[in-house]
Amino acid sequence: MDPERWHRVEELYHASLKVAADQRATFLQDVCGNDEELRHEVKSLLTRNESAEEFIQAPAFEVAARLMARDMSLRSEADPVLVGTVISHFRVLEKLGRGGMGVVYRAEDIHLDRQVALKFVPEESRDQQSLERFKREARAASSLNHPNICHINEIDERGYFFSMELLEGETLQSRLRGKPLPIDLLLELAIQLADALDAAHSEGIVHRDIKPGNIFITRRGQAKILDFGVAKKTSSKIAQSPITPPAVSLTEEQLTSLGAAIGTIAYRCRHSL
Amino acid sequence: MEEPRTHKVTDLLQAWSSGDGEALQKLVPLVYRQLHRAAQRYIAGERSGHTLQATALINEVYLRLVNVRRIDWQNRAHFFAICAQLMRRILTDFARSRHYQKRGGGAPHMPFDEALLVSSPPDVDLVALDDALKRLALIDPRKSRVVELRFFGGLGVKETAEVLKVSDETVMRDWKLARVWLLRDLSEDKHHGS
Repeated sequence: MDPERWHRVEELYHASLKVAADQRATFLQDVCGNDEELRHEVKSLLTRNESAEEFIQAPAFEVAARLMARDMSLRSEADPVLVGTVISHFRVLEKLGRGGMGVVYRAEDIHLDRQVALKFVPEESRDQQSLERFKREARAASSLNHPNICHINEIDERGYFFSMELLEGETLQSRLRGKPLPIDLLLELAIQLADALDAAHSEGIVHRDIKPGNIFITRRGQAKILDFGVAKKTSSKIAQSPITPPAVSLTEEQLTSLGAAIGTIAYRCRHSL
Repeated sequence: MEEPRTHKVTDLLQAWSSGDGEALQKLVPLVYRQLHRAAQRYIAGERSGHTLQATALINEVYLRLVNVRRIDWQNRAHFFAICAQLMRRILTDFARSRHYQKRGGGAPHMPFDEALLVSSPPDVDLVALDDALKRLALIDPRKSRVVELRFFGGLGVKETAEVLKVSDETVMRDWKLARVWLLRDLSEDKHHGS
């Protein structure tokens, strides 16, 4: 655009601003005459007045600091920037803890107006393999419907997080603290867990990392199995061959890569060591 | 860590403005350190529910970079102009390096899509804005400088007017038109084909 023309656009833009909004069109029509292009040019600037109010009001330094803050918090364990934000239809409320396979937050499901737990893949394990494992955990657990298995509500379609039931209580590990449980509670929990594992096994799913840290006890004394992160679907349903142990079969999709140690050493069954 | 002497920073700014590329290499870490500090405060603010005062922030940056009061009145405008250019260069490069990080390295590098975090309004893309500002400079160099001084340099209307040797009112008019022009330019797809 030549300088004279631009000068004219500028002049008309500022002149239009002094005219009442509902009379601007007529005003422009009058001053531009047959010059449609000029009229269009000024008009297209005027239409952006409102949206420009907030535009670049915060200095670039602040914009950059926010970008850096976001990078830093995604890198750090605390993820404080996640807390208070809305992701999909969840409002993240607070961080609850961190497991081997992800960071867990308390969140509010805005659609259903209830609290849930959201589990996110941690920053350091966002390689393809871990993401696959993460999604597999969600799928494995969500295919199970049992009162003693932590229920998965839904999985983020991108696989970044999933939503599960929010549990109040503590893990068996923190309950034990090196001391034995009273025998009646022990039996009660054992029965619940055995029933849950039986249900999983009859669906062909082996948890492979059952340990006190993965067993949750709710305030009402209900046991819940957590973390199907290393679970595996066996090729045949175990219920049909109860004598054969659910040995690691290599015919299945080998998402758990060969040679990688699976589970927690202290709680692994002998034949898998 | 010890902050470099302010007179040394002034020298570096001077050297950079007269085309010394090495001076920039020494200035970048100084600005980054301030950026890092601000980012940490920003995170702490998010946590406690207080947001930062933007203008206070940028003033602090300059105070830490250089002792503004020690610069004589005549050099003040010159100093502000250099600072704004420096900020534009460093902040745009910073934003650009993040773009590369996101695009390079393949798939799950940056899983939390920023569009996902919807509670804060989307920030302007610094790289795109820098490009748009270059296009504005072709039509109207002064308006481009007003934006550089105010947005990148964080200067107020008065300081901007002082640098450009125009009236406050001119700065405000330029600022207003420049913003609608830039907004329109950024919303047009023709420049962003790649």
